[in-house]
Amino acid sequence: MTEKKQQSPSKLLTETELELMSILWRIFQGSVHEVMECLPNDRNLAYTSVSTILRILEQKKFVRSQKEGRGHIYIPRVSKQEYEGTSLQHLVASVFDGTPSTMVRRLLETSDLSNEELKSIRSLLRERLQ
Amino acid sequence: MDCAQIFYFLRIYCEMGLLLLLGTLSFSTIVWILSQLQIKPNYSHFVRIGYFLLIASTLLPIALAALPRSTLLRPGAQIWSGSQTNASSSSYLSLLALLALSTAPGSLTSSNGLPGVIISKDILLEFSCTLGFIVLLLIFIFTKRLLAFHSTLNILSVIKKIGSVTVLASEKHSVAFSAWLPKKAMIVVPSHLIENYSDYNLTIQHEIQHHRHGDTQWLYYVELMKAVFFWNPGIYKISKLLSQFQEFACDEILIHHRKLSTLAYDSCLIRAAESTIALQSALVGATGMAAKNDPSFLKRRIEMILNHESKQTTRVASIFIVIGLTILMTSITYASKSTLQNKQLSLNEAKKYEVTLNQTSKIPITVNELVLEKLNHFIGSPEGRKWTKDAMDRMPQYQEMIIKKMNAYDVPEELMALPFFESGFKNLPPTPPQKGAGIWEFIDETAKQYQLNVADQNDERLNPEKETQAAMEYLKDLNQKFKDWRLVIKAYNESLEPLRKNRIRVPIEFRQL
Repeated sequence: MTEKKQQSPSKLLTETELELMSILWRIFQGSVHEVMECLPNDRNLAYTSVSTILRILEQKKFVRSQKEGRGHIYIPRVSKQEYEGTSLQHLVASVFDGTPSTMVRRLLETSDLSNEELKSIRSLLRERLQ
Repeated sequence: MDCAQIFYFLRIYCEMGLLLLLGTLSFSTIVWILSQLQIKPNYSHFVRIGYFLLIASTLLPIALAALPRSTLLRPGAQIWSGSQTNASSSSYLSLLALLALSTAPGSLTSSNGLPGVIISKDILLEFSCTLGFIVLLLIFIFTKRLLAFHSTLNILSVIKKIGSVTVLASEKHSVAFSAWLPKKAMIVVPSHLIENYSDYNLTIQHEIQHHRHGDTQWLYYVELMKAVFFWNPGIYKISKLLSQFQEFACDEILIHHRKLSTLAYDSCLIRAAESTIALQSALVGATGMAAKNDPSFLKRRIEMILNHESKQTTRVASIFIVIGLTILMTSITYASKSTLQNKQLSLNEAKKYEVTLNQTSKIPITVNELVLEKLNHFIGSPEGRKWTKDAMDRMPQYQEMIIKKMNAYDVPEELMALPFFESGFKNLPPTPPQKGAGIWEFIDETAKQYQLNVADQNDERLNPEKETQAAMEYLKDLNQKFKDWRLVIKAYNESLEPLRKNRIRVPIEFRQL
């Protein structure tokens, strides 16, 4: 029973987890130190905090670790695209009552989209419809 | 299960509730007085005193109930030794048993119509069943909530293990807490706390302290008590006091003994309190860093931490409080034992008396349900007891004279029960609707038959000696007719005539007894 539950980690990340995950997606892989170096200067996160959060990410199966020297190297298991998908699905389900069209309409209404972006959305839609 | 047993358990239950209530009351009074005197309690000790109070109120009534009735105090036993008479308590009992024997086959309410407050077995049973049902229901609800709560813990990510304690990170909980399952001690910290390493560290130390003190285990006991004594404000009060003291005790130890920075600790507390604004429903089986969303509590906590130099109660004071509470609670149990004591005899107890009585009694005595019911009316109800005690107090003035005459006429001394229950040794003229008068309650016809003058001005029935004389002759005559003292008693009680008519039927009735 415990095992089964561990296999289904929570699909979403907390803000800080996402922050560290984004760094890993950008630098592909890294140790705790490397991740910390990529943090903005005004971000005050202790080494232990980063290491703890990375280990939580590992338990959530978002990263895997490899032992290297004294520490570990963390490598993303879930791609940025996959996570974008999951978080959008969650958004649609939780905020937009499961209707994606509402979400798209709201997006078009509220976001200041440039003509190029609108065009690329149109071409995406066309592609999908064919 | 008979009435006596149900009553026995109910009494223990009531005593536990009473102890809990009064113990908590006195404990919180002590706490209040200390706060008025600006003396800080030693919280670690006070938590233990609280636990002691819970345990004592559970165990004392059980322990004292297990003691035999006669040890130390003999509540309610005085009724048997109220008057200085030669008769031992067992021979008084024989009086009662005999009377019961003589009247039981007839209508049970007829003899003297004394009202007795005897709770019927049905009501007792119904009451205990309802109570048991509610308690079980509450325990069930608690267990269900507990299981649901702990299953949410299973999906949390493990941060690390400190000894046997597992630290978990949770996105759902906004405040840290500890929980315990058999062989599984857990600390849950909100994920956002990990970012602030200093707070995270303090929180873990605080929560580990809870595990060290066993607070998380005691919580189960408190919850169980809450279910069992759901009606008792005492348990809610002590539970609130305890949970506050548990926090204080942890804070105290961390600040004083581990030399943590008070400033860092206080700001950590405040931040924890800030995050509890979004606290979800009450946590089950958990005790936490700031689980109490109570500003005044937070204020007191911070004050406590800042004023750690102020006067504090010593170990000796704690010991005194424990001793005081013990004495108080023990005496409460004793007091309640005498007021709440079930004075009803059970059939088994009465059967034991039957055996000892028959060793000496000239009249065979039988104890059965009917006899027991009568007996319990006289010794097991407040009115019955009063009546019996009054009668016993009056008995000595006639006792010597009657026994002398009994010996002269060869009448068994056990028949002292007759005047005892006829009049309660009250020497009164006929009071309608009763036709009898004097201590033997002779009616007109019988009195005249035995040469007693029954004039209004000179009623010889009111002369105890003359009436006793007549009673002896009457009893002797009856014995010559029936050749069995048991039948004599019945004949005396119900007057001679009806018995004669039912001569064949009545002895069978007796054998059934």
